[in-house]
Amino acid sequence: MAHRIRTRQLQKVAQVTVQRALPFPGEIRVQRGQTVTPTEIIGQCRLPGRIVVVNIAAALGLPTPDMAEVMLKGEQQPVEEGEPIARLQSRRPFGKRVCKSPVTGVIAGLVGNRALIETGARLKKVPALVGGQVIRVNHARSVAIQTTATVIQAACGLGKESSGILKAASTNPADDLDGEAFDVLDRQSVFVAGGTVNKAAIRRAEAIGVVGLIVGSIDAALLDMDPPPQIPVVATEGFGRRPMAPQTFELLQTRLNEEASIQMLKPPPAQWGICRPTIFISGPPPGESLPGPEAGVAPAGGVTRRSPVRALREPSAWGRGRVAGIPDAPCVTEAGIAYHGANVTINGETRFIPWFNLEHLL
Amino acid sequence: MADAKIASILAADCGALVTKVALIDRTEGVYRFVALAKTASTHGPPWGDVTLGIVEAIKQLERTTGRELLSPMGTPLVPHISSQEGVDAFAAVISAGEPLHILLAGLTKAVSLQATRRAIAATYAVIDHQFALDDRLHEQGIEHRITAIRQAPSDLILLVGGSEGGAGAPVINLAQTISMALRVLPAGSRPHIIYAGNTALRAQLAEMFGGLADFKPVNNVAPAPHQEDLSGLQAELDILYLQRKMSQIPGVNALSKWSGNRITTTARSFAQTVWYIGQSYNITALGVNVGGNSTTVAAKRGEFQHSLIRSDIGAGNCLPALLQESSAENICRWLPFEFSAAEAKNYLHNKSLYPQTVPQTLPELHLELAVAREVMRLASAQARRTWPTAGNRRGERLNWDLIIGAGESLTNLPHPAPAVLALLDGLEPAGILSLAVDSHSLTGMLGGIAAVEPLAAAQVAGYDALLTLGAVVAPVGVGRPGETALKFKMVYEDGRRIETIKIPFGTIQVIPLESHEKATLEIRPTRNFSMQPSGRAAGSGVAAVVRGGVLGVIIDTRGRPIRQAKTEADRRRQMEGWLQKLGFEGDNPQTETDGNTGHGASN
Repeated sequence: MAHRIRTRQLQKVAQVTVQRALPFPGEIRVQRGQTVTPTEIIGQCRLPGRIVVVNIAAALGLPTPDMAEVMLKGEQQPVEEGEPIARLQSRRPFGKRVCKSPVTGVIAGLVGNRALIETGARLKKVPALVGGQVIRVNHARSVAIQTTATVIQAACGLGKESSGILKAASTNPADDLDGEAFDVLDRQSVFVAGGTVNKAAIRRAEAIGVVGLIVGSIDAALLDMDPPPQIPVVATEGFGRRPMAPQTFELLQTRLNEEASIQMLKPPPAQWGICRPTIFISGPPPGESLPGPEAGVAPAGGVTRRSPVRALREPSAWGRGRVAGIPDAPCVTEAGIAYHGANVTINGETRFIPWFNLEHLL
Repeated sequence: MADAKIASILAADCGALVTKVALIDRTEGVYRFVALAKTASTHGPPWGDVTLGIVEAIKQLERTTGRELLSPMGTPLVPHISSQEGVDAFAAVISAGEPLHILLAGLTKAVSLQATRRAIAATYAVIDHQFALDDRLHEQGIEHRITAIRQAPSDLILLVGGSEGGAGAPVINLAQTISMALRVLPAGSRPHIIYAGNTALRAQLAEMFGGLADFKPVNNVAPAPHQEDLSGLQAELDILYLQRKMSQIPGVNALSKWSGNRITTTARSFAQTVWYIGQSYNITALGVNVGGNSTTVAAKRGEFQHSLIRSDIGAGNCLPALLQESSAENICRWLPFEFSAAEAKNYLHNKSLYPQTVPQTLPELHLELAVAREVMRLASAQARRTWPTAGNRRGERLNWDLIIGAGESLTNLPHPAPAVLALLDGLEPAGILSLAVDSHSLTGMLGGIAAVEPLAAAQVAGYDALLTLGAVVAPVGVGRPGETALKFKMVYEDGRRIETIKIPFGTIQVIPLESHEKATLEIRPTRNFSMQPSGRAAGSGVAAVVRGGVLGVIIDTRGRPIRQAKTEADRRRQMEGWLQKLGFEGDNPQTETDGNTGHGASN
């Protein structure tokens, strides 16, 4: 009997669809069917700036000005700092008054006697992040790109998305990533290490121009970094001090010196800035064939005997193994509570793990 | 009067993390709980359909009971075909949705905003931002308010302020700021507006917001000094929650059809259960339900009934929020083993990544209970401020006849002792009361069952929903270790006696008294202690007849507030000792200090 549980992708080669969305409605610049590269811009939008409120009535000395008469600029029109935006014409000497814009921006709205000027808005350009074919365009908002890539879903991460050349700090999966691992030649690189990384190493990486860090685990204290990391810091296993799974480390080692992209998806606000990263390395690894259409898709119904799974809680936390059997009845755990689950063999040892505590590895 | 057609009910509770389905049958004219099944909730990825988890749970029930409960199409088999095939009704409650995000704008923090916060607390909502004319932002001008409105991802702006017949200009000024902000937001992303202030301003505000956003006026929450009317606002928030949030849960349309369009929220259902129990037995009742993404505190005292929902703290995704409001140190202080604050932060953040996971080891069980304590502490402290004072100072400790604990972390345990200790530590009840837990996860669904068959809900509540842990005797006061806190005497119904014993300060003692037994207690606190939760009448004796429970009579003289030992090592020994006194002999192993519980896993 099959059981559906949560899944995690760790695939040498898979055909995947990557969603790329603009943070605000804007302009999509690619078309369905178009082939894109990772750095190609798929769309752009305006990121809102701050609003400056100008009291036109006070500036012109009128209690209730006729805004249609006095305004020199209308809604959505650009203005420069110091440029007149409203004028009171008067026949009396010294009766002419001018209201000038205090900032450069756009008149976002005219409300009552006030002009709302938006300043500091900037253009946000969104790259494809992966190379592939655009298969779907959601007008003004998002595209879907189909690509063949090595796909690694990580546990958690901080910072923004990025792409760069994959490099390894060492071949020892137990090594932490320290600041000595990179130098100025490593600009535009994404560094991999099997251990963990500290704040000093992150800051050094930022200073040098390294564009991403992938490690086994990170300490939750990094969430308090101020300012937060400006580059993606990805932990494949989670928080704490855990080495990267050997399968993940070896897979990354086979793709060194190739372009890797890190997508950081933000879950609901309840998760407080922690992102769920996915690492894509475009194209199949050397010597690997293209995947069939079912690669990366959970078998219908879910986990069965021999399915690869990952344990999420102690006493086998983050260990990977295969389902050895699925008991019909609930089994009691070390904590003394009974659950439905599976017998899983991890590193030669078979133990019962509740379904709640397993991930199906795809 | 029971509907003669309804002999069996399937009831589902779709939580943020766990979906539970219970089977209720009418046997010899009485509705009784038969079986329960639990699975991971499936509204989120990779499943994206809340009904998948329900079907999985129903399949478990089929295996457990040997009955056919699903149709060939994979839907609940309603109505029943025979005693072994189908049920007569399907009921559902749900708490899987995102909360409403609210931006609160009012005149004064102390009056209008405070009353409004109490109304908001009764629904699944979080306040993203609030501003009042008397707060610091006022000095920074309307630009900052407009920025706050634009940046907050709010579903709703709630504008309050102005007593009836009072000045309207401040409210109009506030409304103008809001309308300015709305004008610079894209039409499709403007929040809904609810106005709950001076009714004389409704027409003017309707005109101001007309064409900008949906505008709904409701009763003034603070119509006059020291008066509150929260019902209109609460009703409107409930409607908005159903329309904007619950409707977005994947699969909820099918669920709604299965249940005859009678879905309600788990929090509402839980509160109704607590209120019903309080009313039926004519007692004061307090219930706390620690959920995955939210926590509900429901209270019933005479005519007063209220519920509070903290949609930002629970035992799952919201753990980082709990860390911000409490601290890792506060959580670690409840552990009977060594565990640093840094390790706790890593553990809790991992748990927030995988909130559906369950503790497999005893150390992780203790961690989950430590979290539950902090969640209960924060939620009950906030709820306490809403309870009637009746001569007490607002926020003062009140006496309760019955306290009910619900939620996986409090009920899914190998022994009742950890639940007892967690409830005592988290809620710090005082006086003489009965403690119970919802051992079958039914209290959250009984409100939904009542919508189908009220008698079923009433009978299951009476017979099956609660496991009585025991009678608690907890004096208020602080003493020196070893100093006598109270003298205790007990006479069983059958005449057996426990003659006067001295109970020292700082201990937990358990006296056997079975669930079906009653006994008369005579308690004489010493001069530094009181049996009144308010702390008054120190030294005055009380007598009470109590019913037992699975543990019996639990005498808790640790004081209120509870005083823990000063050093970490002593605190750990204390926790171990208290658990042992309650009969829990689970191992409390040493842990490695590498930021993870237990031993490191090998990959």
